[in-house]
Amino acid sequence: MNSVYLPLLRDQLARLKESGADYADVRFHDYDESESLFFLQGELRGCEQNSKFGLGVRVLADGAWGFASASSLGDLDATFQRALRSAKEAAKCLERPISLAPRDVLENVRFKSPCKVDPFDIPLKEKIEFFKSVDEKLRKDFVKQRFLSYESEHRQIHFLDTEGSYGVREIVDIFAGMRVVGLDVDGLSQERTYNLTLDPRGTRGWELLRDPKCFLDHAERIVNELESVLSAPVCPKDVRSVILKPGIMFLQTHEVVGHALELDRILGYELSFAGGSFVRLQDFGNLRYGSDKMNVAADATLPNSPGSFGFDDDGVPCQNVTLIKNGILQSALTSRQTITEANEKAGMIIFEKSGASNRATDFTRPPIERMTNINILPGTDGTLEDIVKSTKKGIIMDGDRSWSIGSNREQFHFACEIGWLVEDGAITGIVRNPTYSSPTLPFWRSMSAVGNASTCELVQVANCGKGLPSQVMRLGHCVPVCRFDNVQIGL
Amino acid sequence: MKEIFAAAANELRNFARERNIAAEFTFHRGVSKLVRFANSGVSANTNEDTFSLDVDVTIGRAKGSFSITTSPKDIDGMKIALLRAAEIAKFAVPVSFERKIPILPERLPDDSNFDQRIESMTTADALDLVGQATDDLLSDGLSLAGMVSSGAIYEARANTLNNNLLYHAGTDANMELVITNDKEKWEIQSSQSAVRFSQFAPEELREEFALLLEQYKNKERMSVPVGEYEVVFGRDAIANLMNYFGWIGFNGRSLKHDMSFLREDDIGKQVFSPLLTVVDDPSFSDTYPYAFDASGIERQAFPLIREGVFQNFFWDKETVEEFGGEPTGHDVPSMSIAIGSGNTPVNALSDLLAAPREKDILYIPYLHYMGIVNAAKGIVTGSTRFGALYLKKDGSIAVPYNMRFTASLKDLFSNIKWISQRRAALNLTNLYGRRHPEAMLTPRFTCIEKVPITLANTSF
Repeated sequence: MNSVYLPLLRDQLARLKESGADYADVRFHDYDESESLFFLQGELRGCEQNSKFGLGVRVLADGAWGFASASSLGDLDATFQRALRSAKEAAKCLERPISLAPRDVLENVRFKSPCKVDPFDIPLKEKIEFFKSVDEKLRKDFVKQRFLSYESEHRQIHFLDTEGSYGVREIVDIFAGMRVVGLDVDGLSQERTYNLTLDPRGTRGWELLRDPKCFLDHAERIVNELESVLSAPVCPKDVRSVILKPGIMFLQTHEVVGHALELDRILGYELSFAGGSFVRLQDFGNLRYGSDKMNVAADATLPNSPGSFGFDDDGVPCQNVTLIKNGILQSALTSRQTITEANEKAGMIIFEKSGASNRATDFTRPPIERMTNINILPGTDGTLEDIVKSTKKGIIMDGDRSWSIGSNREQFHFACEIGWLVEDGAITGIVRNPTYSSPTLPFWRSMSAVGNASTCELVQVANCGKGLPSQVMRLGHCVPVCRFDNVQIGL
Repeated sequence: MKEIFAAAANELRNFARERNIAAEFTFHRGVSKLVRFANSGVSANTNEDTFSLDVDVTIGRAKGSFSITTSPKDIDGMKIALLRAAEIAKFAVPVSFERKIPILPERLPDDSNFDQRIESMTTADALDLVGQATDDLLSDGLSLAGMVSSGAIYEARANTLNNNLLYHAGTDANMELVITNDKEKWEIQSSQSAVRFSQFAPEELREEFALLLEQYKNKERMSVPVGEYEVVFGRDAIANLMNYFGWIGFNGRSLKHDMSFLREDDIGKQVFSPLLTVVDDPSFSDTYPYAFDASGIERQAFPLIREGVFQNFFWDKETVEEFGGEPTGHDVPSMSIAIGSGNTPVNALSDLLAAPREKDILYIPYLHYMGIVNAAKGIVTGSTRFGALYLKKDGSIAVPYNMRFTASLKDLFSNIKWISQRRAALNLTNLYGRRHPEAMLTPRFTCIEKVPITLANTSF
């Protein structure tokens, strides 16, 4: 740890206070390494490591935010003062002064994500050999393209603020994926993908890849499924029950529950880019979002997920927040700033405290509301097989091929990699190019089955985009198999 | 900045040569300012100044890469980056094709599109522009959102084969404003891209906002029945659609990976409407062009579609190394795509609203969150957003709730009915990660027949 810098940063924060800042914080990345590997047809096409160093300073002055970042600590004065000046300039155009909800000071809090074997301790040679062994499993005559990707990060982030908080997070993340592409009977490409999932109670170091059950064993499955898709008929245009496996259920949850419940979107802070939300402040506690079977949590206390991070970039400790209970909307993804504004606008206390969802992608960006682990809680409808047995006319779908969402998250269209038609309680065949589309609320209200815990998977999301300037975020979704009725498919 | 890059390149080249390392260096400094608006106030006022160096080391057919984000004065850190890239290259497995470090030619600095005034834009400049575009329009429960983004990039490339340095510097700015009605949940948008500060004309945004507000405040709302429509797409929507051509259409790499809806035997064939002409042309300064690519190949006008006839795929260096052929100067962070103008004198929203109509048509200025449903078929889907209108045959106008369309790009661009005479640059700069400005020159309006609307909202 570059503790030599911490007194300098504290000194700068104190000077900001003296210069008129109401609040300021700094995020200092003194160790931030990442590595990525990319294989195509078994060949190592990309092998890159990255090292970052720098800091981001956020200042609240005269009721407005200012932010400055730099990849050099050579002129700390300039960076800190630029942030202050930006806040004071922004204050000249302000409809409503920003104020922050109270929270306890972070007292030397340390968070470390669970990891047995740091991926950066593994020799490159071993990594390459591992992925080449996976590639061998993907080689079949009908597989025209084989892709393997790997990315890991190890970063240490210091957080300090003018309220006396100090915390440090040491985060290790690991992502890996495999994709096979083949040409179908019409000569058009089809694909099947698997991305590394996590055990929410486990760890996420290189040990995951050493366990065949976590990655290697999925190679054979996706190859077999691709082969079936290549000769399968096209998904019919129909209205059916849709049974979503975790490989698409995570995205369904992400796009029209997670994003729709970001409080900054609800308050209009994303209207010029990512979009708004159909949810209104008066909906909390009242809106029937889904059927009685729908229970959703934003659980950043899961021990092992990129959506668990100790404390957020407001310095608020991570929590498990109930978003939807028995289908009724309860809460949102919140920060110190937005709960104050929301409660004031609503004229009542909707949110008691920040839900610790304010995060920035790195030191070059200010934090905004981001998802943590948005999880659909498991239900009592048994296994996938049990759900299929109770389905009259349906289709099972898996694999996210494309997604497109209305700007207020009020409707969506998803294309998947594979579909299995279900008739009278049994799977009758595979279809290609399965798609489904629906308005959001009727879809969730038609939720008719939720699989038990054995059907749950914790799917990692490495590339959730939002904000201006734009930023990507890492998070997770622990989701079971779910069924929805009367859904338009095949468009 | 050029001198700082040149000095660093010299040190790194010498350091590499002493160790017999074959290396390429890419320097990038991005200086960014972004003032974001929401709920009629400044919601974020950000400044970023980031320097990074990418090092690629090649050993035969194996390559290792290392990037470092640090201070431009951190020569020691850069040397460590070089050594780490070399270490990676030692273990990287060779590929099956020849990899060549390009011999960089001598080139003059490519910095003619640098405007000091944009580089030094302030918060006050942004507030002034936004004020001119929206003041006194924001009444009756309307709020302002959007952003003014400005910045500069400084880039250089060098390698150990010779002492040449390719240098590129440029500025870019974008004003993208949205007026929102929080109660009804509708939004309208207008934008302007600038290479030079003097190009900003906030009164044009104001005019467009005023006209759209007149419709959105007063006209009936409707849910459009699903079905096929004649649609006039605005510049933002058409740029969004054309952007997919760069990914799953014109791109030689996508072709080789079966991810393009265009085929090699489509070259020379009438694939699209005769009204459609598309070129990648760096002579259009509004597109933030690169004069040469990363290998130093001079960029020239590159025809992609001429009067509906597909002309060419573009090829990057690595695809050429793998599959053969000639590189086309497309190793650039962004291209300079220009869609040809037409001869229909509908050049402003007021022209469109006043034009006689043979049938009901939709005006769709903007598409939100598009997705590729099927790359090989070029099928895409997306939703309308920001200021769509339903223009009825009888001359009346309604405001449609947002709707979704799902269609193939081939069908859409085969069914062009007319294109307006005027064009404008649309800023497409992606604000994730490193600053790399991008803009497309697009017709103000493009009318396309038989667009399938597959889902329509019943409220905002």
